[in-house]
Amino acid sequence: MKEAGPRLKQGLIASFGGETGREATAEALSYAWANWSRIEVMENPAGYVYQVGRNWARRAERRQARRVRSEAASSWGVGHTEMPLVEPGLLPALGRLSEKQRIAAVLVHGFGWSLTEVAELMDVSVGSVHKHAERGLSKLRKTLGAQVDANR
Amino acid sequence: MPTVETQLRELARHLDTEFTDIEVEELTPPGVVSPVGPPGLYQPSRRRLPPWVVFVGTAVLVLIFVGGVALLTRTFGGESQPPVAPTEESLIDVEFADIPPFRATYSVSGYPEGSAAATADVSYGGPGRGFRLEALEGRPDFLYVTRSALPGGLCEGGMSVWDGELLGIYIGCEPEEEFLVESTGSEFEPLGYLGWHTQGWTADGGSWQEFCRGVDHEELPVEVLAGRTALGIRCIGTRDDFRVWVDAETGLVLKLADSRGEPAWPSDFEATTVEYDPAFASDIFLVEAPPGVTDGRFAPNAEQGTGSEEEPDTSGLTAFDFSASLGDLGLAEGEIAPPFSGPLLDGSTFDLTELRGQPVLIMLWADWCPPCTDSLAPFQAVADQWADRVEFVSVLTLDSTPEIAAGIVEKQDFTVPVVIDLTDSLWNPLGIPGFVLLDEEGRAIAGFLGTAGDDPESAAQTLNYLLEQFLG
Repeated sequence: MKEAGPRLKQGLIASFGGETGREATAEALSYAWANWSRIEVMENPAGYVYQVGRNWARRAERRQARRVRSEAASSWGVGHTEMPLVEPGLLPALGRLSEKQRIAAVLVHGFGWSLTEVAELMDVSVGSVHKHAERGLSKLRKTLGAQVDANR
Repeated sequence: MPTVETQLRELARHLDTEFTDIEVEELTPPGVVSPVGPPGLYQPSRRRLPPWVVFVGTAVLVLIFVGGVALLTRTFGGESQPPVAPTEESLIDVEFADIPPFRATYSVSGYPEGSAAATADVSYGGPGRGFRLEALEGRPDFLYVTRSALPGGLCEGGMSVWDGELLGIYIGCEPEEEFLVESTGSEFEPLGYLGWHTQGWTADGGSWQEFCRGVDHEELPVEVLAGRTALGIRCIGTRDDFRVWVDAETGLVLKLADSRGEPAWPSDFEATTVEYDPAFASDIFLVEAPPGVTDGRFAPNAEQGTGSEEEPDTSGLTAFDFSASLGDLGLAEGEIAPPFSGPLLDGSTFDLTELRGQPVLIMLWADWCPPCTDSLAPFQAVADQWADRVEFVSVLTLDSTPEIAAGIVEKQDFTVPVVIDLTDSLWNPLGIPGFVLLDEEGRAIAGFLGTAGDDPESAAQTLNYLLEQFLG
């Protein structure tokens, strides 16, 4: 759990976008601290804390959906800084992926996590992460019409 | 244009630098002092409890003690207690699949005028039929039906959404898939909530406790709401407090209280009236397009919702237009299939042009796609039935693994040729499974995206229907 905080943040931001992911991270870590004696004996404490944040974020998203008429993709906010290397269509495309595909694709191909690390966070098998990451990437390529990166 | 991988790396770099302001103070609940902090996580400094906290805490302990004594006195003093409904097997614990079908007229309070389905006709048809909601007030043209209730439905969890016109349809198989709609509206409506939870339950085998997963929860005292026995549960978050009460018999959400609801768009609501119709006709789960809506994407085996042995009355249903659905597969009606050849799973080579002179029914599938692998058996059955008139070919595509596919094919005794096309060079479908019928000249004349039916029998019926319609 030494790197739980930063990695948890990456995981939740990958899943829910910057704003919601950030809040969910704070929520999850806050809960983790308050309940650490119970959590530390669990088989996968990091995965459990991730689920805490995920659970909070999903409820937050539903509240948001009730307030704002918007496409699902718009809730995948990333802040206001310009990203010249990122196509405008990437964020809506990410928003249209399933949650599992989104988090796997962003963590594996964006943050460079290993499949094992993502599997531990999501509490699923490595093979499942691989499928989600590749299917997510495949959908993004289709949507954006981008070419496969030959350097990877 | 940068590759997708490059863009994702740039996005990750941006996210890592943009959101670095999570402070330790923010993570430390006020007043929490624990000698056992998560090592390497975020260690708050130890603090002494303020005197006022000690005072209040002592007072609370005294009150608890006094209350406990009073309760013991009443319990053992022979006074009768109000009956409490059993909760051990309550719906709070039971998966939604166990809830019997129901139909109810349902009114709620607590929403801005015109912002919600204040009065709605809500129905649950059981597994395989799913939900239906039709707003009677507030949004008279709003209809919400789970995908599993739709004829030819793909996977449980999806929905079609109408709002005067068809806004979109959900074609994914995972409950987390987004709805493919322009707008779902901002209005809360009760069955949507119910459906939302059911999606999770269907996928996870969960319950309301599952919904609270990750935070503490407690069962609330049994209440009577709108004349119905309501079981409640509270999810206790560190900054969140979510309470929901459901009808003990049907699971219908009767009351919701969310501590973080916003005044302008309150989350809270409460059912004011619930009138159940125990003798409702199950054909309510037939999907009829609202006036003015023309959409041809629903498969023809719509009778599955009736539960009747008789020939279904499909006159009110929108007819399924196989030709129009070719667009979902990236094809135009009459378009000549491109020259296509590739390796077969058995090691030999396939060439589509060699099949000219006979109609060809092609199925696009992937080994990781359960609806696809479920479609192999009905596809094989129809192939056997039409073997003398039609060629059948399956195309393994979309990131499949041939070795895995080979195992599936062997296990299912699937003898239809399997062409390996992992780069989607044949077509570029929006999804899988997909079915395309080519005529003797190689022209695309019909097709559709998605499973042909919920079970092998209905899937085979749909494929037979397609072939009969186009080949006589």
